[in-house]
Amino acid sequence: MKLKILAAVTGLIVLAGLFAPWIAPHPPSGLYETRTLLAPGTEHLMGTDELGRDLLSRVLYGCRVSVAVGLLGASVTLLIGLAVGIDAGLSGRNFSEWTLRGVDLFVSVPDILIVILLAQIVGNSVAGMGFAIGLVSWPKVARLVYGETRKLRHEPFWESAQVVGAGLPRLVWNHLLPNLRATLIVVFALLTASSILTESSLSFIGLGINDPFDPWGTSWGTLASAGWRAIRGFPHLFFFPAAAVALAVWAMNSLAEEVRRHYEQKTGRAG
Amino acid sequence: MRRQLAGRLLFLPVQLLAVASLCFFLMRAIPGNPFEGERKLPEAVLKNLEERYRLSGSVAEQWWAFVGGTLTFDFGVSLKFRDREVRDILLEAAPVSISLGLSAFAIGAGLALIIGVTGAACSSSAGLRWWDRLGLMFSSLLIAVPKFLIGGLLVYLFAFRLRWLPPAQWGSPAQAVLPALTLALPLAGNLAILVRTAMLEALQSHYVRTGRAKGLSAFRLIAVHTLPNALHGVLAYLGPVFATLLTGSFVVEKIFAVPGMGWQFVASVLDRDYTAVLGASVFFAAVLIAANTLSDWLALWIDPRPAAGTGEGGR
Repeated sequence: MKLKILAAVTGLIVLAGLFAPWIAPHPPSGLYETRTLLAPGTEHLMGTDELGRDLLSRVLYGCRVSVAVGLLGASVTLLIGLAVGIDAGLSGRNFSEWTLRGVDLFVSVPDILIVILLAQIVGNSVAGMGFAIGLVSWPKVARLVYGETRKLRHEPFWESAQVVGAGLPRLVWNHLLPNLRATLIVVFALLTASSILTESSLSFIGLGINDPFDPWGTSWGTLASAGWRAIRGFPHLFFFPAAAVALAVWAMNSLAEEVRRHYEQKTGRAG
Repeated sequence: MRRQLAGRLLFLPVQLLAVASLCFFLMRAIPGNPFEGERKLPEAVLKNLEERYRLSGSVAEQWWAFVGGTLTFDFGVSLKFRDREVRDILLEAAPVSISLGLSAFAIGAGLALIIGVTGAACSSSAGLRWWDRLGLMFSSLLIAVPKFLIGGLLVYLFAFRLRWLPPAQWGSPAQAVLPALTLALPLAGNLAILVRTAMLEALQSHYVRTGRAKGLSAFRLIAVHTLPNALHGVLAYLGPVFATLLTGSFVVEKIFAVPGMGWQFVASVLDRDYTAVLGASVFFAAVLIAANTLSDWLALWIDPRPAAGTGEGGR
């Protein structure tokens, strides 16, 4: 039951981002000169900003950007992590394993510091932020996949498959990935949440997405950053976008926790 | 065990060097030139400028000079504040961040202990389970809510509505309350869950059952017998905890205009202040490497079993 509610909330957030252009009540850059800085009301559910733009519409369009960064960051992290983890786990001491060892050198550097520097290089766009986050956070996934792969490699079903002549692609696709599925779903939800959190924090301090002339240049963090300047007199400009981040991250974290519990009950496995 | 520690100690400079080099090459790869905004400069002036800011010669030469500077804690002159050494800027900002971080740690750890311990203690009794549930919900909420929202709520409520505390700036104890709380609350959420799990596990032990059988009070059983044992496991997380405190300072110092390391770093990145960004990055890394090593040692000192390799022991 809880699982379904959380899945619905997460789904709604993603859909709201996806369909922002169709469900937004006003154009996000539509200026109403006579309606600047309105408090939330019936006409504008979240109020308007200093240029008379409808905040609800801007939050919906911001949802599209934030969720895109979250999904992209999680996908890049997962793909690199899977590739390196499986490669290192299946073959003995090879390039991937040494790469993983090398990455341990940087374990003490906070991720966000490198994300900031990387984002300056690849650009503060949706793609840039997503890749910067992915390029920095994959080692954790790689280590997880590496451990699971090494465990599965010695299971009887794995050896039987090898005996009957299954090739490497078949082993990975039919035997490895289905066994990792539950873990990967949970990890993907957690990664999406943490990517959204990282991006919005960076955009809030001015090191993330901010391009008012690009339809993909305003995220929840950007909106919160702009709202921060007026928080004293017009708190709605700050609190609505900031609360949107909190809701999305909380829903995705809780969904991951519920999915983990669900699989545990199904397989009767603890921990 | 001593050999293990010595090995790790030798590894530290290698680690620091790797981190410093990574930051150096990332910084060089960032597009933009610190001198491009100004009027067209004569060749000779540009050359002098590059020499002053260690931008002359090949990238390899620059890297070598940077590594040498790192070892002697000399990062050159700031590009933004032309007459100031990066070292002086860092030494000015670091105490601010350290006192903010330590007060946040004290508040966060205190809250986490209260929530985690009482939660675990209440989890097995039907009548009090709601308290455990509440604690868990509170913790997971604190983890999900971005720091800028926590800070925004605190400022709006306590500075603008109630007018109890100043909204920003740094100097007086009253000005430190809100930033320290903002930094402490997410930390409390994370730590509370760790403490609760460790306590639940420790409460399953035989010595707890024995203690209960011989009639110890619930308070004595938890505070004297269970808690110290449960905290072993939590100690290993102190390194990552310091990492979250440091990176959290980026947002918190920006919100409250606190002139610390995080604020300095963000400003330097925005200004393309190469020397200051590099200095701050290396400084962050050095502090974290030191914190990680210290927390490893502390864990080993309190519980030498994993290093000595003598199985489970008195559980």
